Amino acid sequence: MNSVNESFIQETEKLIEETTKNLLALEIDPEVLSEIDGAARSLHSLKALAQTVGIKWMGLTAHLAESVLGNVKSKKLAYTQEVGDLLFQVLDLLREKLYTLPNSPPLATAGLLKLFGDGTSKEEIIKFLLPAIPQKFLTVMTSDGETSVINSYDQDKTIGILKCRLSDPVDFEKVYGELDNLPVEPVVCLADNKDKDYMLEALVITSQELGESPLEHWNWTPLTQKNMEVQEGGVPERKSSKNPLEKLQKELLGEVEERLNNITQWVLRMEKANGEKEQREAFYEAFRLIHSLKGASFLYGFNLAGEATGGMEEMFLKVQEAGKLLSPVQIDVVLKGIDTLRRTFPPVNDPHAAPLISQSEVESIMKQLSRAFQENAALRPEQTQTSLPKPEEQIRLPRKRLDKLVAITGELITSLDGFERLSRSFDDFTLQLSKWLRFPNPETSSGLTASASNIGLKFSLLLSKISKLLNGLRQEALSARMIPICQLLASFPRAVRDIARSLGKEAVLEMQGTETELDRSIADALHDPLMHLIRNAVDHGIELPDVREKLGKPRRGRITIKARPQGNQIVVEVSDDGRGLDSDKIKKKALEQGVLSQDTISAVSEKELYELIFAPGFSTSSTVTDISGRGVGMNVVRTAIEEIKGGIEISSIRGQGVTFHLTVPLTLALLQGLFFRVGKEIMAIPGAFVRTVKKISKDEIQWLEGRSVLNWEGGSIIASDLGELLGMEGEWRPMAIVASFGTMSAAFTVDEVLEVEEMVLKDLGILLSKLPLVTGCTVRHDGNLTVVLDVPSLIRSAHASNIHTIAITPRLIPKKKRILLAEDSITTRQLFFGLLSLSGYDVIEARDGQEALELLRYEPVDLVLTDVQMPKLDGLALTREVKAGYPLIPVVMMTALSKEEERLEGIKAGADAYVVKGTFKSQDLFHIIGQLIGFPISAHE
Amino acid sequence: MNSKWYLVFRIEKHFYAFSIKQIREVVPMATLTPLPGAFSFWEGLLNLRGRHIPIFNLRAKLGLTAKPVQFKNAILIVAGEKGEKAAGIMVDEIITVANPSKVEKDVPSPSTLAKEILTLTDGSTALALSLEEMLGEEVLWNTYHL
Repeated sequence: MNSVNESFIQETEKLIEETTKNLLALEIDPEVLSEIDGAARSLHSLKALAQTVGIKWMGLTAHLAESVLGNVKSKKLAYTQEVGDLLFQVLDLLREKLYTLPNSPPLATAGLLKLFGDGTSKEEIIKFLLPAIPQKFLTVMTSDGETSVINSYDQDKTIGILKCRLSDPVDFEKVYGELDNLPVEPVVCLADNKDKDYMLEALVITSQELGESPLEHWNWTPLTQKNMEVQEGGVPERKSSKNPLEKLQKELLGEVEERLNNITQWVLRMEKANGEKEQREAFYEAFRLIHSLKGASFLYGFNLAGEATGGMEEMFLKVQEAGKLLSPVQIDVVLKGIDTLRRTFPPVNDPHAAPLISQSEVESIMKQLSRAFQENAALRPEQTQTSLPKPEEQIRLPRKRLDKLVAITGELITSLDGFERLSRSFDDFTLQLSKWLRFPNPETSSGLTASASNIGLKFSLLLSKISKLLNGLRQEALSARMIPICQLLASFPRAVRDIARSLGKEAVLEMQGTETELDRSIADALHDPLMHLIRNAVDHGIELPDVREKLGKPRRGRITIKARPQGNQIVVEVSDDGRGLDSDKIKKKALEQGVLSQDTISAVSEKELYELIFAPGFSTSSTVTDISGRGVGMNVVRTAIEEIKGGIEISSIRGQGVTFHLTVPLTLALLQGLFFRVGKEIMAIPGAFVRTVKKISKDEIQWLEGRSVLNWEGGSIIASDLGELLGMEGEWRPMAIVASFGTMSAAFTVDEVLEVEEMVLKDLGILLSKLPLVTGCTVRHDGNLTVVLDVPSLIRSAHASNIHTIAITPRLIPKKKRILLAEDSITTRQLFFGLLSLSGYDVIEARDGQEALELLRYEPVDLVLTDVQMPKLDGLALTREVKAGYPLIPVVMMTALSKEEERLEGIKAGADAYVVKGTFKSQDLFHIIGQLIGFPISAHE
Repeated sequence: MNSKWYLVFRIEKHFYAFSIKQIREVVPMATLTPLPGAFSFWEGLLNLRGRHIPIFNLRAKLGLTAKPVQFKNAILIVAGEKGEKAAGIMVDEIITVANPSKVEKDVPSPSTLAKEILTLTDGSTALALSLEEMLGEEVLWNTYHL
C-alpha cells in the first residue's frame, strides 16, 4: 500500500514540476502553443492519475486548470500575470495537499472559477463545470440553508452552492467549517465578485463516488450517514418543513455557526485584551454565550451538543470559581473545544441526521480537554489531522546503470572460478615441489620453474582483472548517487518569478549546463545557499523596471545559473545583471562596524572588500525586507558551502551585476587527497583546495610587516609553518603547499609531499565534532589512519595571526592549585588523591610528616592536608613546622571524630581547619579548601 | 554483596573503576594517529578494525605527566547505549573485574566525574567514575576542566 502512496506522490510531484516549467515559459511568451499544450498535457495526466487513485478533488482541480489552459489556447482568455498567479496557486495547493491528504477540498480552486466569474452567470459556470463532474444530481444551497435541486442542466449531476458570511479577510478554515455541515463532499468554492469582502459563494459538488478507494488508509473524513444516504438514494432526502419543531431546529442550526464564531471571537479577545477589566468582560461574554447555547441545544433536542457545550461551560465555571482568567494554554483548549462543538450538531438542512461525531468520541475529547485544561498542559495534536509522512527518499536509476552493476557483479563471481583453478594448480605445484625436495631431480626442476612462473602470471592477470572490475563497480555505484543539477534547480525559476513579483520587479532565470551531474548529498546541501543567492540577486541586485529602463537596460532583469564540471569539482556561477556591489557602501559600513579603520581602508583591495559581505552580521542593505537584508545570510551561505568542502568567490562590476562562483566537489564520498608529512606525522588535505606544490629555498621566504611571505603568481602570500600551526616545534620545512579557499590563499610548509590519492573522508564523530583544524580522517592504502585537515580554518588561522608563524589557539592551561597530602594510610591517600585531583587540584603525596616537610622544601604548595597520626613526624608536629617555616600556607587536619582533644591540639598547633575522617561526607572538605585557597581554577587567574 | 560488577584499573598508583556494563572491550595499547588542535587529553585516533575511535587520556585529565608506553597499558573501549560516542580510555593497567563489598554513593566532590567509592573485598578502594560525565559536553569543552 505504501508503495502506491509513494509512487503516486512522486509522480504527482513530477507532473506538477513539468507544468510549472511550461507555465513559466508561457509567462515570457504567452503565445507559445507547445508550452500551453505541454502544461495542459501534464494537468491532464495529473487528472487521470488522481482519478485512478480516487482523489476526486485533485482530479477536478486539475481538470479546471486544464480547462483554463484550453480557453487560453482558443484565445478566449488572455494569459495574464493574474492567470499565471492563479494557476501557480493551484499547483502549490496540489503539492501541499499531497502530504496532508485530503480531508478538505482545495479552496484555492475558488480563484479558478473567478476566471469565469467576470460577467459569467452562475448557470454558465455550472454548465462549464458539468462535464467535469461525474455526478448524478444538482443541488443548489443558499445562505438561508434552503436547498433546491437544479434539474435543468443534467439529470445525472448534482451541484450544491453554499453562500456563507465571512469576516474580512476571508478565513478559509471557517468556510470549511461551514462546508463540513453539508451532506455533500464540497469540492469547489467560488468567490462572489459582487460583494467580495463579505460574501463567498461556495460551489459545492456532491461526490457520488465516495465508495472504496485504494487510499482509504489515508484517513479520509469518515463518511457521515447522510453522505451514505446521498450515495445510495441519489437525491438527498428532505423531509417537509411542516413540523414546527423541525423549523425551529433548523433555525437554531442555522445560527450555530454564528454563535460559535461569536464565542470564538470573545475567547480570542481575552488574549488580546489590555488590562484585566477588558479580559474579564470578554470572559463573561463568552461564558454567557456558551451557557445560552447549551440551553438552546437541550431545548431543541440536540442532546449530544448540549452535553458537549455543558462540558465547556464547566471549564469556564472552574476558572471563575478560582477567581482567575484563562491562560493562553487554556484558551487553546477552549478553541479546540469549540471546534468539537461544531461537529456535535447535525447538518443544517437535516436536523434528524446523526452528528458528524459519535457520543463516545465527544466524551473522550471533552475528557481530554478538561484534563488538559486543568493540567494547563499543551494539547496533543488532534488525531483527525494525521498527515502522510514524507516518503523515504527514492532513487530513480536509469536501467542501463543497474544492468551494468549486475553485469559487473556477475563477472566478479565468475572470476572466482579463476581463483579456484589457480588454487588447484597451486596445490599440484606444492605436491610436486615436496616430491622434488625429497628426491631432487635436475630433469624435473625446469618443469617446476615453468609451472611456478605460470602460476605467478595467472595470479597477476587475475588480480588486475579483479581490481579493474572492482574499480568499475565503485564507479557505477557512485554514479548511481549522481543527479543532474536541473533536478536541484527545478523550483528556482518559479522562485525568481515570485520574489520579483512580490518586490514589483521583473526578473527571469536562465540556466545553463543543467545536465551537469553531482552527488545527491551535495545537491541537497547546495539548495539553500543557491536559493539565498537568488533571493539576494532579485532583492538587492536587480533594479526596479523603471530604473532599469532609464539605465538603458531591459526592463526584465536576468539572473543566470551556470553549472559545469571542472575536474573533480562542479563550478556553479550565479550572476545577475543588476546594480553590482557598491564598494563605497561596503567601506562605509565597514567603518561603521569597526571592521576596517580609516588608515587601513585605502590599502584594502576590491576583492578583500567584497569578502566582507561574508562576515557575520554584515549587510549593506539599509532596509530589512522579508526577502533579505539582515546580514546573516551571506555568512550562512559561506558556512554551508564550506561544510561540503566547497568555496565561494565574488566578482562584481558596478552597475553591471554580481557573479558568485561556487566550487563544490562532485561527490563527498570520494575526494582527492594530498598526502604529506609534517615531522613524523602523515596528514592529508582535500586536493580541491591545493593550487600548487613546490620546493622552496630559504631565500624565497621574505618578510613583510612581520610576516613571512612567499612570492606566488606575481603577488605575495602568507607562508606558515604547518607544523607550528598544528602545535609542533617550529622548524624549516622545504616543501610548500599553496592552498586557497575563496579569495584567500596561504602557503604551508611541510617536510615532504607524498602523493595524491583518492580517499574516503570519514567524519570524526560527535566527541570530536568541534575540533577546529581537522575535518575528518581517512584510511590510507596501507591501512593507516590519517587525519584530514580543514583547509579553510588553516588558511584563516594563518591569516589571523600577526606573527609570521602561528601557534594554534593558544592552549592556556591555568596554573593549578597544589595540595600536599600527608597521610600514612594508602587507602585514605588514594581516595583523597582521586577526589582532589579529579576536582582540578594538583596533588602531591607524602607518606609521613617527614616526607611532607622534604617535599615542601622543593615544591611550591598552596595547602597542606594532613592526617594527625603518622610515623616519624605526626600531623601536629608537621603543622607546627609548616606554620613556622611557611606561615602563608594553610593547613587542614584530618581528625577522627572521637578525638576531641586531637582537634584542640591541632588548632593550638596552628591548623586553619579540620575535617573529620570517616564521616567526611558531612564535612564539606571542598568547601573548606575552597575557602582557604580558592576553587581549583579561580576565575581571575 | 553488591550485585554490580566493575572493571578496576590503575593509573599511576591509584585505582579507578567503570561499571562493567559500560566497557565494550579492552584492547592493548597501539599506535595512535595524533589529532592536531585537540585538547591534550585527546591522545589520538585508534584504528580499531577499520573504525576510528578517539582515545581519551585519563592521565592527562588527572594532571599527570606522560609516561612511556608499557606492556601493561591498555585501552578500554566504551560507547553510549546506542553505540554512539564510541571512545577509548587509556589506562596504565587493568587490575581486576570486581564485585565490591561496599559502594558509597554521593561522593562529596565538586567534580562530577567521581561517582562512587568502592571498597573491594581485599580492603582496597577504588573511585568509580562516571563515563557519561567524562564524555559529556561539560568535560570535553568546558575550560574549567582543562
